[in-house]
Amino acid sequence: MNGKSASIRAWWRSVLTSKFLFISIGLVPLFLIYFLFYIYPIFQAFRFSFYRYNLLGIQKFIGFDNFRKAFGDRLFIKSLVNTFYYILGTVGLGTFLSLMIAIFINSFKRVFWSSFLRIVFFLPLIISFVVAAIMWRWIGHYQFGVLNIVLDYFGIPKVNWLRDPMTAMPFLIFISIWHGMGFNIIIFLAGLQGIPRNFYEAASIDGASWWDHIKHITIPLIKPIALVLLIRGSILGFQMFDLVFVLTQGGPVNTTRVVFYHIYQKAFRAMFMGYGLAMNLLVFIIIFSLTVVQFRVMKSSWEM
Amino acid sequence: MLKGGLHINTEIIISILKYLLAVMGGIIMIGPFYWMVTGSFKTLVEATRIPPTFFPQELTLKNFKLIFSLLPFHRYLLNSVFVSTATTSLKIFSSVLGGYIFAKFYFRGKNLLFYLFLAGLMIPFQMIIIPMYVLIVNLGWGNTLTALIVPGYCEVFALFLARQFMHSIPNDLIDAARIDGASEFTIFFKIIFPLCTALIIPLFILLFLQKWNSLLWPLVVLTTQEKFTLSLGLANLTQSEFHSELTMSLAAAVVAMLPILAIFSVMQKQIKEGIVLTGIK
Repeated sequence: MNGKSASIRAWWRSVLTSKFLFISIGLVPLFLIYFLFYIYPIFQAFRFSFYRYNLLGIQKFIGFDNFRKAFGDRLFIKSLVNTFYYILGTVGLGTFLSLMIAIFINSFKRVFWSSFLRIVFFLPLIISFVVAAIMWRWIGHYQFGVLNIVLDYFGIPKVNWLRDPMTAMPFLIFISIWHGMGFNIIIFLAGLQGIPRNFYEAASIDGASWWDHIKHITIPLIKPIALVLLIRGSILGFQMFDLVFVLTQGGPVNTTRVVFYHIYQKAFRAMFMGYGLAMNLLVFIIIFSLTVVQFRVMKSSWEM
Repeated sequence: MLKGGLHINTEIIISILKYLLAVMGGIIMIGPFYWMVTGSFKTLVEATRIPPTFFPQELTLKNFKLIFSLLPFHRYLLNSVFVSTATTSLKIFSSVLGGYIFAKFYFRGKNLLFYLFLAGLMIPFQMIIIPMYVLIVNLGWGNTLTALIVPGYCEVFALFLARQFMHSIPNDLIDAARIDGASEFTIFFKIIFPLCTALIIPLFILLFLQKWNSLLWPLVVLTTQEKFTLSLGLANLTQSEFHSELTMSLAAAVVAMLPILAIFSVMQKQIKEGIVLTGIK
């Protein structure tokens, strides 16, 4: 009796110590879930962009119809334009601003100011876009918001930040930059610390001004990091949704209708899921091409 | 002592300007927080007063009481806490385990499998949200918290980080434990996992933050108010009949923000390391 249970225990023990079991338990759920919820949907996304497809089970192969519809969809085109505008503002202006601020922070010798500024610029990152939206909606409120009250005090007419087609998108861009700057600043700061001091000292000896320092030393050496941030920013820019959903719902006269908001509306509200998938695919191609272009442009300016 | 006029020291002026700029920067970044928090403690009457009061003259908790009485706000909180904690814990577990296996074990097809995960990193979530949603519904998980948790089990980014981190764990340690007769599971839980604390803490915070603040997926999946997460409840509030209750939204936003703020102020150092660690993401 004892011999039998001892050998069962020995078997059990050998199974538990077996690498095979361990690897299986470790990787099988991982792979299963990855395949089911990630890989499979990727194929579905590609496949059903050629169908009329929605939750109600209607599935009909319609070839390139969805794509033709996308090219003819004025709102879709407009949303692409809006998104480009948005990206230009948040990534173009935002990254540049972040670099300048990083350089600014870096110039503080005393730790107190350096840490203070780092924390202060980083803080907006930890709140969600929804909270940021509510925060700035309150500040930019037409009647009671601080911004307009201050403007009014100086005799400048109040601006309807969120409802005026001219200011809605800039306001969103501003909020985005306010929110996301911290990340870029931290990365740039790390990069700046990698530039040896003696480069600047040598330049000073040669009589360079502070702007020369930035232009001829800092900017060329920070380009690789800037490239990564630009690409990341652009990809994220195409995914902007939360702010628009909470604040403007596509904006006054569709000025803040960004591409994913449009896709969301078409796919989940109007239930044109196949169409949504087709637009998604087109956007993906755009993002991909844009990334390649950014790489090329940066690379060529390097080789100069 | 400086005399004005000819002996103005430009360096001091630049310094003063810099400090001024720094303070201005601080105001622009932190001011809105302050404004939102003070606004949430004001009555609607005082909040809409012109000129606005810098500090609430009548401190009130009415807005906070309102959000809990008019909305299932405690449910929002509970759901968010549950979903964020569960998801993040699962992600950490799966990633550390997976990273360990990919780093320290050899088996057929390992590289192929890894490249498969690598490829997934390139696809943004919004590309697959539509079919993922259909899949969820077909699985019967529509409008459930399960749908928020399970698909997130695999976090490729964390998997990569974990694998990288494993290189800092000497193989001899593992071999020695094996010779001593420890099972693979014991090795993992008692040796590897504790050694990864420096990775796990910042990673947990980062992933938790992401999940806590996420809006899109809960928005798509959840349809009954009781199931809403905080972000979703908040967004819903701004679109609902209460959207003009300005101070109420502020209070709700403050409550949504509080847990994250608390975590961050407690874990400042680990976060700093975490940012550097996950920098290129």
